[in-house]
Amino acid sequence: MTFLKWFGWGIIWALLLPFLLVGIALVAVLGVPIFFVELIIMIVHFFRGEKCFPMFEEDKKAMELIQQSLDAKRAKEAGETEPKAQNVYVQQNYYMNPQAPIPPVPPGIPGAPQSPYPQGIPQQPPYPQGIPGQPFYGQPAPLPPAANPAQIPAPNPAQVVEEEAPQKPKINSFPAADPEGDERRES
Amino acid sequence: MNPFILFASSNETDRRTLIIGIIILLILFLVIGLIGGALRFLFLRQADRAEGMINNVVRAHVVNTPKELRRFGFRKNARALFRDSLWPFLIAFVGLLIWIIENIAVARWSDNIFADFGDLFFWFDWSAEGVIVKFFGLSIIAAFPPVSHTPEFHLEHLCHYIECFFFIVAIVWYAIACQGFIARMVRIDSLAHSIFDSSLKDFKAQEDIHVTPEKPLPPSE
Repeated sequence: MTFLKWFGWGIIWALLLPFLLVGIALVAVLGVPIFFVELIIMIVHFFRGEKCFPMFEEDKKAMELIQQSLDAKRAKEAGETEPKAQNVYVQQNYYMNPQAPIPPVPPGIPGAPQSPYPQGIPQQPPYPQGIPGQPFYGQPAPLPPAANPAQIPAPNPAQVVEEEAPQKPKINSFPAADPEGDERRES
Repeated sequence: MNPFILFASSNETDRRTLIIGIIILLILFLVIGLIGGALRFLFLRQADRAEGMINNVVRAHVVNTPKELRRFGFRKNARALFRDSLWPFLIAFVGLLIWIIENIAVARWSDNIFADFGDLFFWFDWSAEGVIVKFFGLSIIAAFPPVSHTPEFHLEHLCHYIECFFFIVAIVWYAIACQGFIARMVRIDSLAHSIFDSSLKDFKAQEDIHVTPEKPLPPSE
């Protein structure tokens, strides 16, 4: 079907061929001065050291406008996808020397966390010890030793508690079986 | 020859003549259709090239009126015609150069180089009897014409053969370039109308409400 359609169009174009030939003849005559004018323009550009066929002013303007719109679009996409930079204030001194006061936040860093202990970390840990006698799952993480071994206090022998011998675990006792209960259930 | 006699006659020669004429007509029809199809294909391809030439300028709104678009399109098209016709002009120039050098050497300025070029082809006698017949008032080819001249090669016409070959190639190539120019101008002119067309054909005021009116539109009278 496509071939028949294409063939039909071909017949129509063949019938229009005489008019097309007249048009071609007219353009052929017009094309000779166009050719020589463009040839002269090309030669002039060549001897000026420019490209033989430089871009038209309209093309240059169009390229600039399209480039600007592409740059704006790219900048907008980059601004949306890129996450906002977050200033992280690393308190290195906290772990190195917990007793030392935390240095103040340098000025000009917006969003930096403010230390709740400007005078230094207190002696007792910030975590709760739990209720005595109840299991406590929130054991505080032990503080790492200080970098300077000379700062670690020596243990007092009077305060050292010897470990007690491990006691046998208490196993829950179960009540004895009731033989009469089985009979009652079966009846 | 009376066409009714052809049908009623039991003459084998007449029937063969009719069959050959019909076959020749069909072949001509097919060839003409193919040539027209090839022309249309070239035309549409050149028209697509024109759209590529003006694409950036139209999309960037550098040209904003049909007149500006046509003017810019003509300038672009003229440059494209120059580029396309560079080789044909060069080939024709080489042929002309050969003709001038040959005539400077042997001084045969008045020779018809195309008639000498025809020596290389078969010539047919179309005016022979039985070749063209009248069929319902139309002149159709009923038989293959007899050969009146066979190809001959003359060494003294060698330069004419080369010149004619160059000129024919240049003419055909240049004609194709001119056809491309016409195709591009037709497409540019058509786009100049359609791109800047402000048709209100499918616009419905009642449906296209982007601004809330204070009052409803009055009914049309």
